[in-house]
Amino acid sequence: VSPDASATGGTVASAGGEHLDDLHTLGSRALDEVAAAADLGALEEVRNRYLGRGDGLISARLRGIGQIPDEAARRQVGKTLGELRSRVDDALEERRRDLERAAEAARMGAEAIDLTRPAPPLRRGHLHPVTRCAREIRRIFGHLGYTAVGGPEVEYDRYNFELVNMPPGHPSRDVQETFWIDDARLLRTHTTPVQIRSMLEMGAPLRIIVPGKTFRRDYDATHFPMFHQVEGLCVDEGIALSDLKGTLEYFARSMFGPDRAIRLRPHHFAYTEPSLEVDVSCMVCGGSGCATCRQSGWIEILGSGMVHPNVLRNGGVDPDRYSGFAFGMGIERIAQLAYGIEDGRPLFENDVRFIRQ
Amino acid sequence: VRISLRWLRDYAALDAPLSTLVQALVDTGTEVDDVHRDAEGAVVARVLALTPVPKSKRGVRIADIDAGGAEPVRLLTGAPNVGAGDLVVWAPPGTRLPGWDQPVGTRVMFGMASPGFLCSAVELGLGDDADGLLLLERGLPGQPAGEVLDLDAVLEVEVTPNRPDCLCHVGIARELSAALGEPLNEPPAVVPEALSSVSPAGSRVGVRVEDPQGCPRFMARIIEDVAIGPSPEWMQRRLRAAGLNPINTVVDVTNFVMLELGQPLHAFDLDRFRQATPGGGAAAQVVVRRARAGERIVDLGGREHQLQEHDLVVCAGTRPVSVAGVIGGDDTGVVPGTRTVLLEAATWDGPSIRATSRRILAKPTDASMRFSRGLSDTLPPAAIDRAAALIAELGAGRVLRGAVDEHRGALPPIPPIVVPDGRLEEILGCPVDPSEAATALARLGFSVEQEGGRLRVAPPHFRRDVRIPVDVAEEVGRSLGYARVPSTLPGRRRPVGELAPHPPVEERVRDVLVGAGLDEAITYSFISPAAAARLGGAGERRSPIPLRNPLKEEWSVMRTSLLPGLCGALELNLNQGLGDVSLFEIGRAYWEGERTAPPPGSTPDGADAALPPLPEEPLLLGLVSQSGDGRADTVAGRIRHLQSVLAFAGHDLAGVDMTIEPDEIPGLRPGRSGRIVAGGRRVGVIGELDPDVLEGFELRGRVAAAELRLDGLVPEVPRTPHFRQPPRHPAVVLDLSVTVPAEARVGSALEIATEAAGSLLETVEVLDEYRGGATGARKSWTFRLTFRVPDRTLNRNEAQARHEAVAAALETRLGAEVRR
Repeated sequence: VSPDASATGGTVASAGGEHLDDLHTLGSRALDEVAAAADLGALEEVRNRYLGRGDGLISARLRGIGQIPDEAARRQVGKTLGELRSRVDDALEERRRDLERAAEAARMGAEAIDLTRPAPPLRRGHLHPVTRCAREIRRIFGHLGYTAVGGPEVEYDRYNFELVNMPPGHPSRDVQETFWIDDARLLRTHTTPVQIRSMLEMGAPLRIIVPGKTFRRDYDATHFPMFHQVEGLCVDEGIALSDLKGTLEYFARSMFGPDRAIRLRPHHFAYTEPSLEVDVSCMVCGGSGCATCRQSGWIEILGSGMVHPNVLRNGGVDPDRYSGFAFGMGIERIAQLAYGIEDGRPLFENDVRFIRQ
Repeated sequence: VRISLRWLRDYAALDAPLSTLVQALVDTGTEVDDVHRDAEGAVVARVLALTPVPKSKRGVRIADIDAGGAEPVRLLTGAPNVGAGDLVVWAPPGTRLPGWDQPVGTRVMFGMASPGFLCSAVELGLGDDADGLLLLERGLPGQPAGEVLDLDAVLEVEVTPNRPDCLCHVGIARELSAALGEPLNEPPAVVPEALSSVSPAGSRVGVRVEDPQGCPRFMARIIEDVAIGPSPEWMQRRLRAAGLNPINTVVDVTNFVMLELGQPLHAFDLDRFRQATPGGGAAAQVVVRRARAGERIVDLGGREHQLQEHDLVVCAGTRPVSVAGVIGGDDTGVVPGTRTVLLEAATWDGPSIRATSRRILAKPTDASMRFSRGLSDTLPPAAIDRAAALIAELGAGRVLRGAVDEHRGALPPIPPIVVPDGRLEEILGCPVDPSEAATALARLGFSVEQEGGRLRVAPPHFRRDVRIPVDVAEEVGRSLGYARVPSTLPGRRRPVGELAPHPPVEERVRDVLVGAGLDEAITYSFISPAAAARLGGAGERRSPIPLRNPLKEEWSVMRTSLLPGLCGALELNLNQGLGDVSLFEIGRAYWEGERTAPPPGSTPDGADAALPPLPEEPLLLGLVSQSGDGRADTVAGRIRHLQSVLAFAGHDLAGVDMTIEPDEIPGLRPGRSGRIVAGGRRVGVIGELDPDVLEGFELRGRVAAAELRLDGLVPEVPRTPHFRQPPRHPAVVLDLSVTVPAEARVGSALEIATEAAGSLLETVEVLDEYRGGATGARKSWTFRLTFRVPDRTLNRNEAQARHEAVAAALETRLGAEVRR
């Protein structure tokens, strides 16, 4: 039982006689108890004990002030009690906030997560490298105003060979070993037949690229019986070989980096004249010679040339008015060079560990 | 073809370093695939000491040599002509010597290892002296032998199909001499009078060409008193350098001339030829014609060939004895006892030779490879005279006077090409000095007349590929070098025409699928017939198109569906220990007889109408998802996932709702398969692979699969979304629980509910399904119906009325009982 229990009970009796000193003792005891309250429950008990509406040690004394007869004493006690109440009230409030902050801190501590643990992987799929590369090629030529078009993969001999200047028995057919369906139909060996179809369909002037599947009857460490090409065709008035060179230089530098240079090497394709192979300076050694470029500093990336007048004519385009250039590149080869794929064999195995890189 | 550097130097100086020569060839359009230097790796060595091997009866000695290394090398030598202090050539292990198939190795003799050996002149390809070591006049130990000796080098040259003239040493020498500005000395081709016989060739052989188109020219010479023996060492060395094995004088001379001038020759034994002639007379009767069906020839290698009517043959009288331009016959060839030779030099129709050679031989012969490309009919006289002269000079026979020359099918002359002033610049895009162009052309053998800026160009006989001004531009361009052509971009002012293109359908679909967690596969367009039959996918019940010449059975028919290929990809991953793999592929399949219109850009002449139509090539999307745990609900979840992906793609890309119509589909499990319906059309199939199909593809676990046709479904021009303000008025949400017969399907219930609810219904969804327990053979569903009108707050009673209408419709049409 608190020593004040009697005082609480005997308010009237003690009202006038209580010393201010006692009030100060009461106040410091209240503040000590506030400071000692360990949690919000204990704090509430302290509040009730001192400031409780009915019988709080301070509240009750305040209520009993009127009974102090001496006015000066009454005023003095009233002032002291009022100050005491505010101080205790402030202390309670401050202690409450401290306790809440501590509780919050404890809760946060319990909810802490270990951010050093690797996050679970986002389940997103990956594009095949051939698709990625084809998109990149399409993007680059898109900037130059080329539209992507398609054509049949099962073609007629006429479009695949005859109309691109390779009549039956032509020796150039030997470098494109062909899968046949019957005497007239084959699996296209290149995307070049789409040159004819596009010219017939759209006429000149024309700027197209043709990404698509092609097939040759070759199968070894570096040849697949199915592969992908991008054909390009630009037909307009006044197109010269320098335009071919500039366009392919733009392509090579966009694809392989701004420091790349290109080199045109004479070659032969039945459907272009002059015909050229295009080399890019080696992206591995920069041109000084390494294993990738077989010490030459150059890597062949595509075949190209000025469209043969017969091909223009077969496409319904007047070779006396228009000229053009064309090129064809193997997407697998470009992808291998651009993405550092040393061995091309996994390309069509579809091992997800390969694709998900 | 293989080109020997030393041989080339017979026709031009070409004393520049080898790398310069190679670069000159590459820069002018002749690719050099490889360069082999003779005795590469061999070094100069000084003999320090020689010690006899006591056990050797042939005087083998131990040689200690200084080969430039820190330590002397000890090896054995049997050569008598070497002494201490001599400079010799040491071929260490790994050195490749001319004419040797294997690199030099380390031998063990007399109980010691002898690394490589010391070389004689013949081993280095430097003459005939095999008796002792080649002793050097100069050199430092360790110096590459090639720096002190004139060793040969062989270039492996890739000649483009338009340049048969470059398939020989004179041709390559011509290219090099033109590139380097050196004079070219062509070999002489005159048979010295002193070595000729007086009797004319015509008295011994008659030639009749029945098909001058197939054989524009046939020349024959007769050589008598032939002595068959080995050809001289220098000739053998050249043949070996070029990759041919020496056989005997006559055959070696024909091969030598082919490798020199590019004109293949054939030598018959005249006596055997006459014996092979049915009812043969005194003079051999050479008849050139197309073969008749059923005729056969046994070739020099003893293989019998069945001839067809377009094959060209050389006959002894009526009997074919040689497959013209391809391979000679067995019973008329030159043999050790041959006394009289009939030498043939002919020009054949390239396409005919190509067709025959490709049909009867796995690989073309040296002759058919050259004839296929179309040789000049001006070559045979020079070649046959060169061969006859060589045989005579080697003392291997006496050449009869003159040649029989049947040249009725003479090829039309190549007309001169007029290149107008400025035309070369138009084509190449850089200024070209006409005089410079004329000089470059003249070096390549063209006759050029220059009139101001205009050139009149007459190609040489061996350049039948040069016909029109662009051909001349190529010759000029490659001679002057494309490095001088500037880089420009084409550009002209023209009115705005085409609009910016949209990303293609397949690219948009790919983005959705990758976002949904599937990896992209690309599989072969040809599959095995068994795989095609096992799983038809969206191409079900279609017969695949067979390839006439597949590489193997596994790749012998064109796919009608992408799913078999995708199953193969799953199998590969499973074999790598990778389960739980989800793949998609977008690509074409091939459906015979279903193309409704010819592809765009067909020739206006209608020539395709006479041909079998091209197959339809639908653009398909195939999806497979393997689950390893074998549980029914796991794979059901995979099917659901594929359904979600397709629904999203359908909504986002095509603006259509995709629904599934349950059905039995070959290759898919009954009860877990259906057809994909979009916009009222069946566009594909979805379900779980049948256990038999899994077994057929050697797949473990269970696999969800779907395939649908994209073209015609997803619009080429992307759908433009319309963004509307979201509804501001509150919705009334009411749930409805029913029990239904076990076989009832949610799809029908949703249809019925949507119809009965009318226009107030915003959405209806299934919250849950419960089966078994108290409901017995029935199952229960809870639907959540959301009612809303755009322009006002919906009265709850109105919604309640529609809710009851839905309940009533489900009761009458689906046998549902409402649970209250």
